[in-house]
Amino acid sequence: MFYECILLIRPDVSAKHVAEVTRMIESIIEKNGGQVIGSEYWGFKTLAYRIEKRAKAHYVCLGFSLSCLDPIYAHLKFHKDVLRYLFIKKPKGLLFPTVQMQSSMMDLENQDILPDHTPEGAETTEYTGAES
Amino acid sequence: MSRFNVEDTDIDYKNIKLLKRCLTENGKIIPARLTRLNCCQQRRMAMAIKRARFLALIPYTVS
Repeated sequence: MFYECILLIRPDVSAKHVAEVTRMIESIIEKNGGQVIGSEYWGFKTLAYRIEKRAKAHYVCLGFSLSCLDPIYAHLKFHKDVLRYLFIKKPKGLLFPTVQMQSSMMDLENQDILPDHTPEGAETTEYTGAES
Repeated sequence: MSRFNVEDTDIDYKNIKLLKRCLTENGKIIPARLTRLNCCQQRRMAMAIKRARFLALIPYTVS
């Protein structure tokens, strides 16, 4: 099954640490026989409301295929740097780069839905958090 | 609000611009009779809005 995962990471950690957290989750996925399809850093964004007294957070989006989410839940539930997370089942496949990453959010004509994982889809993904 | 054409695949919690068209100034979800979305689309829209709210992409309420 395909899943999309969004993580809200504490604002006081560096971009390098954000990449580390992401890499950790990716390794858990791969260890459990899953496949990472896309990984995106949406940026350091202002939250619409305060979460745990924090007004900003790093947004990370991961797309992957995995049979069982339990190992990731177990990791994230008590992770001190993750403010909030959300998993969404995507039975029809994943779309990378996501709408968030595209410069014009309403320009939806250029998007293609990937019915299943293809190497091309993996190549188009970008991760800006790793460099900075 | 007038009728607007939406592709089913466009309704996504990440597509904030689209979601905002189905919200009032206070952040309430506009009913289907006003958005003119069909039943299926309205349900997906409501789901997408609730997901976006949980992720603090859009506020629950604007006071």
